Amino acid sequence: MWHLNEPLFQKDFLSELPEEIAYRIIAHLTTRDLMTCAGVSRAWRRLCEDDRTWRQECLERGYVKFDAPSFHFLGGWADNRADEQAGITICSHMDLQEAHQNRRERENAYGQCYERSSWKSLYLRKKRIISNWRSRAIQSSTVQEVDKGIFRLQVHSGRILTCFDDTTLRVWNVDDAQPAFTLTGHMGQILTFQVSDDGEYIVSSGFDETVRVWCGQTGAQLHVLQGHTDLIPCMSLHGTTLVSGSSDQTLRVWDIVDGKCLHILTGHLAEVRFVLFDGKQVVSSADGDDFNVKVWNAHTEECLYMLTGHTDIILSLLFESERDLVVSGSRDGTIRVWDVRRRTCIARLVFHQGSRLSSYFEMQFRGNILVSYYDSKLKVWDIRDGGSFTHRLQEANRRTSNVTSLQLLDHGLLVTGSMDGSVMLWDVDKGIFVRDLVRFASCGYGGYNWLLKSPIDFRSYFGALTALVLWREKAEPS
Amino acid sequence: MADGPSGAKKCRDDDVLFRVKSKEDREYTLSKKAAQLSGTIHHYSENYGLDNDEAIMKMEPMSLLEVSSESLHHIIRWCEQHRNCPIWEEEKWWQNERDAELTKWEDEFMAEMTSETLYNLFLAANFLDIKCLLDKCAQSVADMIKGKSVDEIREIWMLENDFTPEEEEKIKNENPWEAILRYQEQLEKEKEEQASQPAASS
Repeated sequence: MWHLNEPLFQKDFLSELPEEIAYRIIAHLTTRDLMTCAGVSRAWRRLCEDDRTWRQECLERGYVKFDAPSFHFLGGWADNRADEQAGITICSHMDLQEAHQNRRERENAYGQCYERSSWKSLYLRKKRIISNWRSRAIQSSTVQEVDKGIFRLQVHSGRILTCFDDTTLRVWNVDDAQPAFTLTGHMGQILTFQVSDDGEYIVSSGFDETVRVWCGQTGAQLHVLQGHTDLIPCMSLHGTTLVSGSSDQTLRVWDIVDGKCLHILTGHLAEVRFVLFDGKQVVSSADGDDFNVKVWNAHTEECLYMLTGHTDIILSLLFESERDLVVSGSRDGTIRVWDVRRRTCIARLVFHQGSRLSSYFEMQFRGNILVSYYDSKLKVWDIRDGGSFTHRLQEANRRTSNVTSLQLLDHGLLVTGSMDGSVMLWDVDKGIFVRDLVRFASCGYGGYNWLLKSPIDFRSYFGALTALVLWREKAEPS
Repeated sequence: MADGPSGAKKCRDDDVLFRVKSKEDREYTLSKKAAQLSGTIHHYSENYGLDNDEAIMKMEPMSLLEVSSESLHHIIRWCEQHRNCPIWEEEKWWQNERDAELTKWEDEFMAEMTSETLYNLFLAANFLDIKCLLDKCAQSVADMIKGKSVDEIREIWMLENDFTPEEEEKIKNENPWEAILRYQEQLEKEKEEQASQPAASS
């Protein structure tokens, strides 16, 4: 690397060069260096508190803004004797009183560091939460046992939404693990549902060819959106604009406040299977012989881009609008990462070769890290430089059990739920097992699945590890 | 002045030449393609109708009053070397691939710089708006900071500690970073120790 002939600089590059140059320089530093530099001099300190630089650091790691530290506690665990009976153990669990005490202490100690560049404080908070995840006692959790198998699960600010294999949607309070209300009205099985960001609306759709809009506070039915002529397996809500994808091969854009259909997107040649919407662009894919990912302008109904390359059905589709990246996993055994604007595939990851796919496939993506699960192999990829395989996650001293659900947390942490009822935490950067979060007594028998969800507002608690929401699904008896 | 690293590209005889003039009123030429790497020159040629070869061949030298002859010499070397590279994308790292040979050339180029020339080159690149050079300069300076302690940095850059002792104490205390790192290192150490012993079956 570069060495200067003379040992000393005659000029202070950071404070004497124009500011925009100084920012260019610090953009190349690691966050740890940035923290060091902030202690060098007043001028350096001011530069190293730069909000844009920290924003970039956060974005590269997939950190997004989240709420101020909250005192929200998940009290459900304490009352939930069902868990004990079922033999579920939350590893190193901390009781409520201990948790409150712990939190007060930490707030006193760290108060000031949250009052600087908002992105910097975000980064530091994330950093702290991550180290808590790794090591600290778990403060509280809600585990609710149910009789029937749960079909789908959503979590949003203090509410948990569940859907059984039927036509009703149940809403629970996280605080006391009690049911809040039930949404009834669908004439057929519900396939998908979502809560608006502000929690005001719940939307659901399924076999009965309608989209229903519910009040997020009371559960009252506000609108029944009719127009699709076949079942609706996917939806994506942004603000109060909803895009629904249907087996009738069309996508519809709706305003859920006044219940009107704004646009119809036609062009898919098969049943629409996945749809993602960021407020401007719609990304969708379909079943059948249509192996393309389509990107639409939601407002002009125009198909902007077609991402072609897969040679079989798409099994999973992800969209990150900040960098305009689409990730698609296909039955052809590859995952492709696309730069939408240039219509090019920037990474092609082969997770399976040879025979036709036979088992469950799932993937998640955050920052430059992609995690995939297929054929009892949990793999970590880096999407940079054309994509590369970085780790296979496995715990040496343990019999591996099939993963049923995976959830990426921030900064290289991954939670997986497996068939034997355990929930494990992994470090995807280093490719190692970190710790058990939950163990299940009668492991191996009965085939329990964990469905893991960790929405942003659940990961955000100040202080210790607080933030895992788990749901147990009884799998089909084998 | 030295011709610099091996394998340097120079403009060829059949290139259309763009004429520029340094602060010291010395004239230089560079190929049209290399000149286009500079955002400032690009705008200049748009504004003065230098959009075809004929116009460029007839042009009066463009005065670069902010750029010294020495800096301009280096700038031209850089631009000729990079004239066939795709446009530098600021935000999208995956579009800025450079081959190993060019990276080697760039490193050698930077190694020649003294802190004074680098400082001036930095200013010149900023004035001429040459993104890829700015980025390389920034990278080089950042490499001098990386992994160093506060005291080491102060020594290298001859900086004075202008914090009051109270402020310094506060910075240390309110900065949770070191504590977290120490904690993580300790955890990893424990982990390694555990791993080196035969683990009990779970």
